[in-house]
Amino acid sequence: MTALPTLTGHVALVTGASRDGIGRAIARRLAAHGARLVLHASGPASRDGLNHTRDLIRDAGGDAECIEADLLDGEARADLVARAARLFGDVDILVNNAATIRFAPPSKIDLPARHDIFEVNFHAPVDLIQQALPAMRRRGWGRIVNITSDSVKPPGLPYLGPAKFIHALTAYGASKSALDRVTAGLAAELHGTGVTVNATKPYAVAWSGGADELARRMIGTNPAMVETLELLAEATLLLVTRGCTGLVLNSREILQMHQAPLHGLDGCTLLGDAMTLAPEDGRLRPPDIAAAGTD
Amino acid sequence: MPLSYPDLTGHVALVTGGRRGIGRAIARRLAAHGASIVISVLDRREDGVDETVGIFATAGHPLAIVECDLADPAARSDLVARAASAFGPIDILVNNAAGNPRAFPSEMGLADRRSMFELNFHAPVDLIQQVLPAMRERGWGRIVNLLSDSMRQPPIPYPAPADHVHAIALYGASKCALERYTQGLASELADSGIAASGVYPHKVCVTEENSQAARAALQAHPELAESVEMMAEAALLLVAGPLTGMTMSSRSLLHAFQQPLHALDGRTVIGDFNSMAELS
Repeated sequence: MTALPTLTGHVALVTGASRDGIGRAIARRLAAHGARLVLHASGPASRDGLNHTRDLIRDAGGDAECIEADLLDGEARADLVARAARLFGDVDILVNNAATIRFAPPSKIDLPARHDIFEVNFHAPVDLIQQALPAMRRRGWGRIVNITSDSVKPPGLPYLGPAKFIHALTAYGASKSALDRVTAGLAAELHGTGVTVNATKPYAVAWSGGADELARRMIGTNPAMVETLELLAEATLLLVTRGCTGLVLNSREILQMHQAPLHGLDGCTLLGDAMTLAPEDGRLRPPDIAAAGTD
Repeated sequence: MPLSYPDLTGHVALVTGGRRGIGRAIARRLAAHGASIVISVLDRREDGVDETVGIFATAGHPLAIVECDLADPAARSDLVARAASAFGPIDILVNNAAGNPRAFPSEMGLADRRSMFELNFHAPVDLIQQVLPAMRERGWGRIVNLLSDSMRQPPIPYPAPADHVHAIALYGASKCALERYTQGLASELADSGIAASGVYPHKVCVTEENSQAARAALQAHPELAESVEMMAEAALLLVAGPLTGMTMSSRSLLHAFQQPLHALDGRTVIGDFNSMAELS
């Protein structure tokens, strides 16, 4: 059964879809609404996880194929959208979710680490957008969603974590700040084309498999800072289906402005709304988590 | 609280891209307060270098010129060491040099984006990492990164032609990255005696580098314009003042400090945060 609203006839490319994280949740949610999914991961090391995402979507009755490209490599990603388009036709929904992080304080983070961060988190999304735009313009419809981060903001005071961790996020935050700016700039440039460009992010931490330990630690003291992947999937679906552009907001803000309820990844099960907190037992988390582990 | 005439004698400043415009104005203002100045340029034969040397010679201010292609990681890897050979270790770093290939976000190719981020983001960070050891040793240092109002998408209706608005989006993105880095660096360096801040023209600084389109926009909207003296005053506040982690516009800084606007000699009061620029 296809959940409403329907995305039948649309093809979505979601980068970084191999892990038990935001990319997989968004892919599952878009597929539940009928979009055909091209799932991306960097290479063989992520292949099992990527196949698992594909299987989850197929088991739920959706269409999904896998594609690999090392986003660190400008040449390797140069034809990613063209390759994706051979699977189900032109990509008209692009979700730039893949990101990389190198933990080091600003005084020490070296040039190779900074290059890696900016290649994957900034240049790759812009490259993929530029690759996807011609077909989106032809169709007069396109959706670009960039996944950004709360770390774009300077460290709040007092620090809500160890100072060392706060400092180590600086370069990552800088790359996402650049991505936020180009999101707004692209939305302005593409005004009137039918192609929308938005960004969303967790309020603080998304309860992914990779962040499971952090999430469980934080939820006791700062429950509002931990959110389930369903929130980001709902926010992304709203950005894809409702047609706003130029928004750079966290997931709860996007649900709130659309006055939209929160659904499960099947698109049908009602879970709450913008205010719903992640329960301490992780009940909202998709049932595959425990079995799949992290990859 | 306004600063009285600050004394920077014994300090050495490296100003990148200081052969003209905002960079030179900042260099002249720091020199007026006694700092020795090293200016980095791409090539000694570029416009403005000889003129700058002449201005400093006439004023009797120490100046050294170093050549460096800041967009080239290898070429910039020893810039601070080379600059320090002129007057001693650099304890004031002004990351002013920047560039914009000016293309729409949907169109600027990877090569141009990469080189823009080299010059506007990675070079400043590399130079900061190079100057930090000497600053830590001294227990004092000032890092001033030049940012841009283009870090924010302009309000609607656009204050400038849409072509211009779209052509500065990616440049703004590179400056957003530098702003975020500046804030993180200031946090990391808390209590070290080293302050890191960023400053940008409130809207547009009037220099010889303004494009024809920018000149036309400033004629139509003179309130968007400010003088290089405004930027120099703001940079001086960040160098001579105690604050860190500020990323503010020039006018906002002068307002916050209740600081008068001086000429580049540092003595003559010519206005305040509200002063308009002369348009030629």
